[in-house]
Amino acid sequence: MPEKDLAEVQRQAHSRMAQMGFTFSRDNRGFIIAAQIYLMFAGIGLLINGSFLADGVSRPAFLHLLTLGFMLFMIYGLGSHMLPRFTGNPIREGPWPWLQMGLAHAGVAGYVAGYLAGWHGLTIVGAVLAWLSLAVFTFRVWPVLWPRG
Amino acid sequence: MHKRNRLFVSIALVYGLLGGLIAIVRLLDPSLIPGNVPRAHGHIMLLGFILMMIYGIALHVLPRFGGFPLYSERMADWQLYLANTGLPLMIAGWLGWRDMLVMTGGLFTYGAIVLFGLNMILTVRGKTGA
Ligand code: HEM
Ligand code: HEM
Repeated sequence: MPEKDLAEVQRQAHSRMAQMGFTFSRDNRGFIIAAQIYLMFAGIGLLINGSFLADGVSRPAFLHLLTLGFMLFMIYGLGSHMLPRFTGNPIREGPWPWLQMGLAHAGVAGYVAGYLAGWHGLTIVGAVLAWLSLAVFTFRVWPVLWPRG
Repeated sequence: MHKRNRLFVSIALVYGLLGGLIAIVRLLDPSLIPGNVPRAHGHIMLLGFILMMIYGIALHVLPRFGGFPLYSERMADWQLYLANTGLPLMIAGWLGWRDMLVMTGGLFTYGAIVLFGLNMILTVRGKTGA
């Protein structure tokens, strides 16, 4: 098949899968992409400290680029994609995923920058924002797991 | 999705919120919560949030991806009980500086890990059990 036709077939297949709900929605795609970027930033900690658990002021920063930036974002993206499909119950959409994402980004950034710069107040603000993103995620996922009625 | 697996995911979320909260309190004032708070937080997050989330999702998808039913529902139920007995004991041990409690809780936690591992291996290899 000529290359141009192949590209067209692939585009149609992708569109069909998107309509069937196989593929990521825009918000979940965003979570997954961000997770990979945070993972690459976290890896810098390995180059600098030789370990995620090395002693030193930057330990919590790089450790949480891995745990909050990579792990938490992966759970956000995969969880909100899979759980509604596993249960057949809808997840809260609209502004909620974007609020969750904004809080999570601001949270990781604030937490990490706070430790690296030695600004304790910024660390706390980041910590609270990251926690709020988890609260929003819980609020979105709870009715997926335990629908009323 | 099996109720037990939904429980795993729900409990994971509760641990995540709890673990985040004690870390925030510690940042605000390290003297408010006694004990080894960073260690407790780290394990609430890794064993409570991440691992329980993985338990719930994996118990659902691995049988489906593997093409065989779950080897043992009973083992998975006991995995839920053991994991949620062990972690609270470990947390209490770290916050109360009681190494014996951490060790006892650790044995329960490890029991859950072994049950899960065996159950998954037997599932994807297509064995039938109870
Ligand atoms: C709400 C989000 C979170 C906040 C506010 C937070 C905050 C903290 C703080 C303040 C510490 C102690 C740092 C120090 O003084 O050395 C810490 C340590 C740690 N955190 Fe988090 N964290 C969060 C999420 C997570 C997550 C999601 C994970 C894992 C998946 C995680 C894993 C750890 C680990 C492993 C440690 C090191 C514990 C140790 O030193 O033994 N954290 N975190
Ligand atoms: C049966 C389960 C577990 C038990 C009983 C346990 C017990 C412990 C103990 C006693 C320590 C303190 C070590 C020390 O004082 O040097 C520790 C540290 C730690 N554990 Fe666990 N743990 C378990 C599972 C896990 C898992 C599954 C993870 C990660 C996914 C993890 C991550 C860590 C980390 C990051 C530290 C800090 C290491 C450091 O500060 O250098 N643990 N654990």
